[in-house]
Amino acid sequence: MSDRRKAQNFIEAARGGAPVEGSGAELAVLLGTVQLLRESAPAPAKPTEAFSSRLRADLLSRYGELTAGKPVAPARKRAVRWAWVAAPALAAAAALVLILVLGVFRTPPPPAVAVLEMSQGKATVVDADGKSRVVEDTSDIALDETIDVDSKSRAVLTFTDDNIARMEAGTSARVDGYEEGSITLELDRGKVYNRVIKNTRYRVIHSGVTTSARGTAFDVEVQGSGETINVFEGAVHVSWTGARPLEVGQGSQAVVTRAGGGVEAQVKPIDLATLDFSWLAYNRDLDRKAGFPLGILENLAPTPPQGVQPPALVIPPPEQTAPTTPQGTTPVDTQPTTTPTTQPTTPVSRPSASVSLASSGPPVVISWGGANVESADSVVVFRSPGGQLAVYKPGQADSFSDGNVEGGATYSYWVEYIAGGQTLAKSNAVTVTVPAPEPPPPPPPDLSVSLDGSASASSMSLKWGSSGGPLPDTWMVLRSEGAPPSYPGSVYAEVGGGSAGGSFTDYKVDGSRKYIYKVAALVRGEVIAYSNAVYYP
Amino acid sequence: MTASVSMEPEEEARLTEQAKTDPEAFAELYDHFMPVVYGYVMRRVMNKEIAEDITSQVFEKALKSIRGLRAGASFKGWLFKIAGNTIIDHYRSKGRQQTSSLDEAGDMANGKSGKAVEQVDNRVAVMSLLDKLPEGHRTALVLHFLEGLTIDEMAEALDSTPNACYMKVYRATKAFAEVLEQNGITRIDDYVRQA
Repeated sequence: MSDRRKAQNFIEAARGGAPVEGSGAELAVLLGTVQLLRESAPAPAKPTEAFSSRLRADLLSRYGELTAGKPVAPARKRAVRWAWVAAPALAAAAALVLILVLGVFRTPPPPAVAVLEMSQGKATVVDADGKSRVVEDTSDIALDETIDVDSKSRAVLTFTDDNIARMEAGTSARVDGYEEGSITLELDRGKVYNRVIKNTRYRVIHSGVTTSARGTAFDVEVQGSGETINVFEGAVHVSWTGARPLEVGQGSQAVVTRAGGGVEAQVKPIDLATLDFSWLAYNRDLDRKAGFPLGILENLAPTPPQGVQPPALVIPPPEQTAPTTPQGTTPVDTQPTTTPTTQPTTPVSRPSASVSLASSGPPVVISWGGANVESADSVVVFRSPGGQLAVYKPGQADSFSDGNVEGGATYSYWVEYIAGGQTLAKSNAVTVTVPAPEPPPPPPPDLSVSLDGSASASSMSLKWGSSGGPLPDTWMVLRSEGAPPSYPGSVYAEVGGGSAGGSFTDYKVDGSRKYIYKVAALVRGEVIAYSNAVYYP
Repeated sequence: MTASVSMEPEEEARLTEQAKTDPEAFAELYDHFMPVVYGYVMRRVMNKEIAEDITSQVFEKALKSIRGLRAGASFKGWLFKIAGNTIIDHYRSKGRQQTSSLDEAGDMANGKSGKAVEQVDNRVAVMSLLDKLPEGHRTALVLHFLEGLTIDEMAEALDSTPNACYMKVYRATKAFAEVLEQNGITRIDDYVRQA
């Protein structure tokens, strides 16, 4: 059952409706929690009769005066939804004038095709008009919106038809198409794990290569100018212009590369030990929780007690190409990376252990094996610097993914099999230098904002322009009394960005009071410049 | 004046449209929703004078803006949106910290309500843990389970959509359940037997 279905099921049950079959223990816990909350909350306070009557009489006596004012919606940071209502031409023209005067033009929001939910961290969503918003919890997603997942973050996109796309840190993807029975995701960088749970034509496209599936679990990872498609359950077709679709079945991997102007793909079996354990374990655990078939992910080692974390990445700005696969990092130890375990060089009868490097990261992935270590009661993973990283029971795991590494740093890893508190076998050490992150882009030039104000008895008209820096995607009008206004505490109104200036008229002024105005320029939710202050009156 | 019986959505929509030009229709809405709004504001600010002041502002703002309210919008959800914004404006202008529901529960623990100590302690503990949740989770739980807003009304109150509000309430309840469990408070035995 998808999380969205679970949410609806739970809320229906809390309202007194009957839960669907197979709801399980989680629903019982949630309903118990609601019951506790309702029993614990104090009864709502009641207004006194005197206050109620006095306020009622006051409002009714001023009904005509209060309703005669201009309709004004509460000014908040979030966009206000306006619904277009069919109206006589004069009223429509008056509404249009009001909208232009306010400097705001809003159309009804497009319908949602999915819900984005952050498993960890945050993402930035950019709509078709270039307006962005930061999501730290949940957000509806419409067609043509682009989702950029931050470093150390992971997100789950659940479509309204219950198909699922999970996005790793650093991923940028756009919902390119959505209609009944058909979903298309355009993947710019990163990786997305797709759980196609219905008879839907589900496609993920990167640079002209399309992976399409019906009823499967697969992920697509952008690597340099190519991509790797891993099929964990079911089957997919990989195709590009001029080529016959290539079927990739369960347990197989298609590595797509571009050379000499052409596209090539090689299909081979998946070696789980060479993939990012943290990412696979995250998706395996969510799929297991939802009751989906796991395919080859059944063979994945258990998630360590401390859990798994998304990687910390330096994410390039959207106009740059996707980061290339790290080059030039050679482990000092000569253990071959294609074989997770190696034969010990010591005589067979003595306990021995070996470790090899599966990925230089980030994250760094090592795998290990042992011989004649049946008497061991634990396997300990070490790192220098760092010390003890993990402890497993023998057979519980044979690989470890270390995401807690810094680019450019050098680490050594080894394992020890322990029996009765003593080291039974200690492996070789593998040393790896984690690729350094790409240097951040130079900061954009400073934006300069100039604000003018014109006061009247009933309003304050503001007009501003800017130069020298990037175009803000949002302008915030700030107002305060006394101390100078600042963001976000003094937000008074939001004006759409994408232009070097704007205007706003404040009709809610009291001639007996003094106000201070500024405007703030925002890019991706962060202030990049403030204007000068202007004063009313 | 009572507001203990829910108003049918069709009745609410009809009165809302009429109230744009008819003071009597507005009076009916006021009679029904003012105690609800007052109770919510009081839960947030825990001060009678401030609650009365904010409630007055909420209905004044509602009257000023009612002609701009789009057809089909939830009047109750819209009132809660105005109330939430007005409370935030109040705290910003006064530079005050929001009080917590722990305060009133604390009065109960001090014996002012005369409840049994063990029952009061548990209720105090539960409400204090609610206060420790992130603001978004706390708001979702209070609005839906304590103030009784439907999902559609919540969407209006929070400038969100019904889909997103389903997930907000679900995640908030899961988070609260975890917090309660971590603090040794559970009440699932009745529901396990029924499940």
